[in-house]
Parts: sequence; structure tokens; C-alpha cells
Amino acid sequence: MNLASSVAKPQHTGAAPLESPPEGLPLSARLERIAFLHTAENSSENLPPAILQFDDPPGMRAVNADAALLPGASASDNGFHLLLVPLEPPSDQPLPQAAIDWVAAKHQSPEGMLMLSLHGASLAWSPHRTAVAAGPERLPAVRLAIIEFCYREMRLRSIERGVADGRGALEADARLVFEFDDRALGQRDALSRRYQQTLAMRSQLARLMPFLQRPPLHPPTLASQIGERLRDRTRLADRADWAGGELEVRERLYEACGQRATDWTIARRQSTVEWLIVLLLAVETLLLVVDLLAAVGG
Amino acid sequence: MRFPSIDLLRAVAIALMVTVHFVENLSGAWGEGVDFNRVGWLPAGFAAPLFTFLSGVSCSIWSDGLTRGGVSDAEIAKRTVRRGLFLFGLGIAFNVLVWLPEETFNWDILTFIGSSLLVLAACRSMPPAIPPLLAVLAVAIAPVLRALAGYADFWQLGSYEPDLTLADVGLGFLCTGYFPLFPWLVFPIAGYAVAPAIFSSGPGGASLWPAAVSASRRCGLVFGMGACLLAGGGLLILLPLPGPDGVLRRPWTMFPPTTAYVAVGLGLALTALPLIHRWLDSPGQRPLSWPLAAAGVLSRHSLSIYLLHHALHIWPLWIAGTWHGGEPTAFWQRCLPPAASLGLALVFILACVPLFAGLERRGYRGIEELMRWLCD
Amino acid sequence: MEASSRLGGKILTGSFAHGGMRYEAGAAEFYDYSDVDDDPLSTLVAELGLATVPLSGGAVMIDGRAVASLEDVGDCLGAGAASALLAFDRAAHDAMTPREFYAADEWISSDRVEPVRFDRLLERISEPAARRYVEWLIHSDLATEPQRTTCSYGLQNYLMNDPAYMGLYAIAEGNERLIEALASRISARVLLGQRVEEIGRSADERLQVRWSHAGASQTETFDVVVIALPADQLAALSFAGPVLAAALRQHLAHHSHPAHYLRITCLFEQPFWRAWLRDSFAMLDHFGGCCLYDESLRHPGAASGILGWLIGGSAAEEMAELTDQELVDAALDSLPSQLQQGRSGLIESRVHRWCSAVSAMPGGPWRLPIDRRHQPEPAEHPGLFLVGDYLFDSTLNGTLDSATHVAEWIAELAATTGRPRP
Repeated sequence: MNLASSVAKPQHTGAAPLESPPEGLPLSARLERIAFLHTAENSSENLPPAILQFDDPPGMRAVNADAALLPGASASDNGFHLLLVPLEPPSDQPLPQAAIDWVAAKHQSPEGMLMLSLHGASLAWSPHRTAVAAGPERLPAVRLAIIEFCYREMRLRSIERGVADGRGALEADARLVFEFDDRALGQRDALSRRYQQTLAMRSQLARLMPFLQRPPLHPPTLASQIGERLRDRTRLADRADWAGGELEVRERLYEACGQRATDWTIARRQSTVEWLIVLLLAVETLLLVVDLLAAVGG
Repeated sequence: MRFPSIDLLRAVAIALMVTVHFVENLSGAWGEGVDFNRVGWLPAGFAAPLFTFLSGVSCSIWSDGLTRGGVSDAEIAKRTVRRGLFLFGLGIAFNVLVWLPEETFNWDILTFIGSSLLVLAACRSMPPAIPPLLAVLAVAIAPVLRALAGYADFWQLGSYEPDLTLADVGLGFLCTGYFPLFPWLVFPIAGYAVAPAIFSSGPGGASLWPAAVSASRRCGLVFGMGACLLAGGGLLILLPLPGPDGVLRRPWTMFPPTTAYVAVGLGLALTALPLIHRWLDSPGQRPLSWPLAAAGVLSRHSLSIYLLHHALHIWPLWIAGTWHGGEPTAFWQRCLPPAASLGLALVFILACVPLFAGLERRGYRGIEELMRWLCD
Repeated sequence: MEASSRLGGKILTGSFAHGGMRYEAGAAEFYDYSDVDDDPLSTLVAELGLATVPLSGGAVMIDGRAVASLEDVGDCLGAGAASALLAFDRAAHDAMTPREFYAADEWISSDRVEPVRFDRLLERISEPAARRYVEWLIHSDLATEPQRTTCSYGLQNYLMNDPAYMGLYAIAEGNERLIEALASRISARVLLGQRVEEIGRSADERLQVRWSHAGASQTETFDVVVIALPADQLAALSFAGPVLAAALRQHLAHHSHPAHYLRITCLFEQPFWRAWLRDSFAMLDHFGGCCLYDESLRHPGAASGILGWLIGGSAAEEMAELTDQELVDAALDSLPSQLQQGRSGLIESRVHRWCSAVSAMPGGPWRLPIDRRHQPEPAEHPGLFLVGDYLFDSTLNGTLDSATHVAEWIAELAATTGRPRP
């Protein structure tokens, strides 16, 4: 769940060759591997300079993770590949087919590969590979917009994964809201853990919302248009709503389970005291009965 | 689900029981001055504690299996009560038919196990801490009840001889009979309480036990409790303690079941079961396959063997006694030398294995199947 | 009663004979305010089960080059123009927030003074290139020249390009589907081809309506009459009685500020412009600023392409005199040079003239109270109501707001008095 914790610490190893762009692209095309790292878990001395700093969570940053510096940071887990194709004038050319094919080659996700065509830029996006073509003077801003979008989308995807992973347990735990017994008490730790996970995901989603609901910039810049269009096409706001809806259900369920567990424990303690009293009274009664029978028999 | 460890221990208990009954009923008075409390006869005293302990263990495993199969708690309680009443009724009928009508209310082991099932049915709905407390109370108040009832007045020459009055019948059921509720309830309740710790599939199988404790650690805890009980029982036997007769000071008798006897019997059961469980019940581990198979046969037909062995060695005594002198008990305890009785017991035990195995192959399940058909 | 043979007025969806492909011949889009507050029109569309498609665009094609972002403005018009545009944009946003934009139609002017015209505001843009950019951007929405409308209305037509203020959408199968869906749900008697000639007061203090159909004149009295006409057609009606006539003259004097539209739509063999026009629409720097729609985007997978020109203001008024063919040629000439070869693929074309169909100053120079706008003569003709987009904002949303206001008014009267007559 925690993107920061899933990334290996950076290591200095022997130099490995940088990845090169696919063939058929202009010589000035550049392939980058962008990784999202947390400064708390990686020594800041070894990290390359941050391209973007994020505040969710604090200390998160996007860096250019080429193989020489960060061989342990697998882009497939916590980053993506970005292919930048500067276009010579006229800059309203479409994205070269080689770049589209490069994105499509690694396109394995069900979210689908998106093609965007705006005035001044063309883009092919998938969760792990993105290719963009724009005028050379526009590329830096476009690059930042894409990196920020990919980070947010990745955060949302991890939340969606967490929600999906918890669905099986959710249905099994639903009955505990009404049928809590001694056997269910053994699941208390697991229920508590799931509740905490739910709260953590809701918190992450809440921190993501300002980005998702950010009003479009006006007058628009190319970078802002790309970011907004990507947000729309990947339906980030809708997906966040759906995830939020499921998380709300989970939160209510596990709150109820927690309440039931607490109520059950209290009721069980009360019941134990009551049974204790019953036992003592039974012992007293037994002694009286035996004494009486002995007297009658004697 | 059957566990080889339980089958083995139950088979041991049955073998001991058959041996005890054959020798005591056929040769009891043959060797005058035989002291059945001598050290050599000690193992015979463990049959009943072990068997009643295992009845609690089996009840727990059976009810957990039903719960996992989706049977409701109410239905499980009903089945347990029905089985308890069946065994209680069978015990009464057994007394009438085997031990003759004047022994109807001698409160033997069958009526006790039937009664204990009724108590265990109630234990299912109690908070987990209550049944162990009930077991401790059962042991604690037993000497007091015996003292109140005047235990010695009910026993003549090593036999339970009550008057056929309501008071005597009631006192016998509670504290003065062969197997009264107090303190014998400690064994099935203890078995019922520790079974989830030893036989559950994962940690936290029962709420009595901490959820995070592993299976091996739980077995260790049970073994430790057993060892403490053994040590405690040993101390009670060895140390001269003040107190009235029949209470703490008298170290070791089965009738009445002294605290030391109960402690050592329970301690042996609590140490033996987890050890043998870890040895025999691990998946893939099946040492001693044919002895285990034989133990399984004896264990599965324990009730039938109990009834059969009594019929086989008691009825001929009554018939012979009636035939020769008119008094059915003429040859009771004076029929054969102990060695011959022992040999007969061994022959009977060994013969039971192929006999019941063969009957199983022919589809005959014994009185156990009748109980399941009537009660489940 | 409807004088023409169809319902819908300015909402008209046409279709080409070739392939039956649809295009918008009238109102091009609906405005979506749902991000700001309740949007009755989008709610109504959703309730009617009509699928919608979002419209996006807003690039200004200057000399055939797309100026779609602030960077493009700087590159094409210069850094000074970009700064000037940014300054104007900030001032516009400061002058009207999204919520103020949403509630602008409900404003009531506290004083009746001649408002500042929009051209005065545009003159504050220091860079001429930036000023021209803004004029081209909003001209087709304004449907008039900046000097003929108010600052407020001009600002609204600039700020509507900011998604924070509103969005744009169209109905997937044609905007006229809205009319069809509404018509199918009403149980009232709809009379087409009935031209109302005169409205006056009857002897029993009700409203008497005289209309003609197929040359025959008829008269009937009603408790309530609701007139839903644009201001120019309202002026063609006769109102009997000096009081009523004077009231309507006063009403028209306040509200009649005609603006004009011209719609030219062409069907081509293929959409040859897609590399140049990448959105649903863009603004051209021709005809004072006109909107160019890619109508064929609502027909995904279609081999043919449809371009639609929406020309407004003076250009529309002047060009309305031209023939259809001249208009089509003028439209095709407005395409950049690199696309001129595509005109050979023209299959069909359609022209629709909407002269004086909208208001250049909806609501008038100053805002009257809402009730006053809809009831021109409350004293002797309380049952006479007027409905129209020109009373609000010259949009379909405004039309719905106006109609809703009157309908609720009449329903309240009927509920309190037992009859709809005031």
C-alpha cells in the first residue's frame, strides 16, 4: 500500500548502459526512467536531484532513476518510463509510430493505452510507459505535468488495488456485524488491521482529492491541458469517487465490527461474572442439598 | 475426524478397564489380602480417569466439527443432550441387566458419562473461563460433600451398598457412588477445555486460548499443566498432611477418588495426550501402523466392548452361581486365579480386534451406530 | 400554438441527404453549470434519458495556426500579448467569480443607468494583438459587436471558456432530441401552423387571442397566455388596448437588442482537417471571429466529415444577404491554405439564417426584477406572461429558467386560488 515502502534502497553498483529510445525516432529523442522515492527511506546523499517534490506523503520525490544510480528501483513497481520526442517545426506533428509502438509493447494493463492529440503535443500513455511529442521549448513543462499525473494515477491505482484485495475479506466479515461470537473474537486482530488499512487508504484518497478536483487552469498552458486531459480520460475523479464509496462501506463495516467486538467482550465479561455467581450459588445449593439428603437418609 | 493419539489412549484405557474388571470380578477375593491399592495395581486406576477425560476431548472435537459443518449451536446442544440421555438410560439398563436390579443406582461409569455430556452441553454456552472453574470446584467440594454425606457409610467391603431410598440414590449420584458427579466431572470438563488447544488447526482456535499462541506452544502449556498436577499429586501422596480421613490426608484411593488420585490421573492425561498427539497426529507421520489400526478398532467400539466384556464375564458368573447354589453372586470374585483372569482379559482384548474389524467389514457398526441414529 | 410546422425554435438538428448524417443547424451546445451549483437543464436532460457528449475546444486559429495555450499566444502574438492576455484574464476572474457567473441572471440593477459597454473594457487590453485574440475568441458566442453589449454580458462570454465556470456538452443524437423528448411527455394539445395575430383583453377580463390557420381567423379567450417568442417576433404581434400596447412597447424597448447568427454546414467525403482541428470546435480569425465545429465527431467511425461554421454579429447580418453558394464559398475560403485541397471533397452544404434570433443584451441594459421581466402588464393583464432566453442570457439554460419561473408562478396561482387565472 505504501508506495514509499515498496522501493528498494538505492545502491551504487558498476555502471550499466542507459536505456536508449526505440529506433525510428529523432536523434534528440530521450528515454527516461522516472522513479518515485521517499527521502526518509533512501539516503539523500545517494539520490539524484528531485525532478518534482510531492507532499503526499511528505518527502516523496520523483527522480530520474537511470540504471547506473538506482538499479534496485524497478520502474514497473514504483515508476514509469517516459519517452520525450522533441518535434522540429511544424510542431503540430503527430506522435511518431515508433513511439506509439513502444508504448503499446508494454501495454499490459486493463486500464488501456490512451492516445491524446492536442494542439502542440501528442501523447500515448499507459500506466508504465508514456511517450510525448512536442516542441522542444514545451517539453520541460509537459514532462513535469506528465510526471505529476503519473504519480497521482499510481497512488490512486495502489488504493484501488488495496480496495480490490480487501473485497473477499469484506464479504466474509460482513456477517460479523450481526453474528459475533467466541470464534469471531479470534479474528479481532485481523479486523483491527483491516480497519486501520481502510482508514489509511481513505486518508491517502483524501490527500489525492485536491489534485483530482483541481479546477482547470485558465488561460490554459500546454502542460495544464495535458494534465487535465489525462485526468479526464483516465477518469481519475470518478475512480476516486468509486474507491471512496467502497472505502466508506468498509469503514462503516469495520467500525461496526469493532463495536460488536467490544460489546461482545464486555458482554462476555459480564456473563462470566454472572456465571461465577451462578456457580457459587450452585455450590451453596449443592452443599445444602447434600446436607439435607444426608440428614434425611441418616 | 479421528486422531490416532486419541484412539491409542482410549484403547489403552479400554484394555486397562477390561483387565481390571476381569481380574476384580473373577479373582477379586481369590487372593485374600490382595490389596488393590498396592503399587503394582496402580495402572488399573488410570483407566477411568483417562477414559472420562477422553470423552470430554471427543465431545469437544465432535461439536467443533459440527460447527464447522454449519450445524447451529442449538442443534449441537440438542444432539449432545440426546446422547447424554441415551448413555444415562443405557447405564441404568446395563445396571439392571448386568449387575442385577439391586445395582440399578450404583452410578457406574455409563451413567456418569451420560450425565457429564449434559453438563458439557451446558458448558458450550458458558463463557470460556467458567468450565475450568467448574472443574476446580468439582474437585474442591468433593471431599466436603463426602464428609457431609458420610461416605464410609455407603461402602461395605470395597463395594457400594446404598439403601434404595431417594436420599441415598441422590447422594450416590452426587458424591458417594462408584462414579459420582463430584469430583469425576473434572475429567470430562478438563478434556473438553484442553481439546481445542491441542487439536485446533491454527492459532486462536478457541477463545480460551490466546489468539497469538502457536499450536506447539499451546500443547506445551497443556503438558506443563499436567506436569504441575503430577507434581502436586505426588506431593500430596508423599507429604504427611493434616486433615480428616478421606480428605487431603488420605493419599491414594479410587473409591473415594482422593484429591491426589484426581491430580495424578488428570496430570497423566494432560501430559500423555499432547505428547502422543505431537508424535502420532502430524500429517505424513504414521509409525506403528498396525498397532494403531488395532487401537482404532478398539476405540471406535469402546461402548460395545464395554457392554460385551461385562456380559461375557459377568453373566456366566450369575448363571453358574444360580445353577450351583441358587445365589447368583456365589462365584463372584472367587472364580479364577488372578493369572487366569488376566490371561482371559488379554485374550478378550486381542479377540476384539479381529472381531469388530470383521463386523465393520460386514457393515455392523455396533451400539455406537445406534446411538448416532437415535440421537443425531 | 406554433406558427411554423415544427416545435423547437432555435433548437434545430438537420440531416444531410447523403448518408443521413446529422448536424446542428441552430443552437450548438448546452451549458453545464453542475460543477458550480444546480443545473436544471442538465438535470432535465438526464431525466429524459438523453445521452450527452462533452465538447472541448477553444483554440483560436490565427492565420491557420492553432493558438491553444498561453505559450501559443506568446509564440504567435508575442510575449507582450501573452502578458496582456494574462492581465485581462485575471481582471475578468476578479470581476466575476464562478458563483457570481452562475447567479448573474438573477441580478437586479439597483439603478437604471446606461451600462458601460464591453468595448470599453476591451480597450484596457494594452496589446492590440491580445485584444483581437479576445474578440475572435468570444465573437461567435456574443453574436454581436462589443460596443453593442454590456460589460457584464461580454465578461460572461469570455469567462465561459474557463471550465471552472461552466462546461459544454451536446446531446449525442442531436440537440433536437430534447424537444422531441419533451413533446412526447406533455399531454397538452399542440397546434402547429397557427399564427397568432393579436392578443387583447376580453370583456370578461380574460385574455383574447386571435390567430389564423390556413387563411381562416379564429378567436378564443384564455385565463393565461404565455408568449414564448424572440423579441423580434414579439414585435410582430399586435396587442389590443392602449395599456397593453404601451406595456409591450416599453418591454421591447428595454429588451429588443437583436443579434444575428449564420450557420453554414458542409459535408465532405472525409474529415481532412483532423490534424489541424483536434478538438470539437475552434475559433477562426475570419468573419470577426467565428466558431468552427467538427460536427462529425458525434458520428464516431463515420468515413465522412462535417464542418459547421457559426458566424455571428455584424458579419452574420451582412452575409445573410448573400446566396447560399456564396456563403459556402466564403466559409471554405476561411480554411487555411494547407486544407484548401479538401474542398474538392464537398458533398452537400446547408445554410441557416438566424437573423435577430438572439439578444445582444439579454435582460436589457439594466436588469429588471424577474417578475417584471415576465409580466409586462400586471395591472389589467395579469394573465399575460412572456418567456424567452433574451430575458436572461440568450442561452437554452436561460430559456429553461424563464419557462420554469413562469410555470411555477402559474402553478402557485392555481394552487392558491383554485384556478390559474391571477
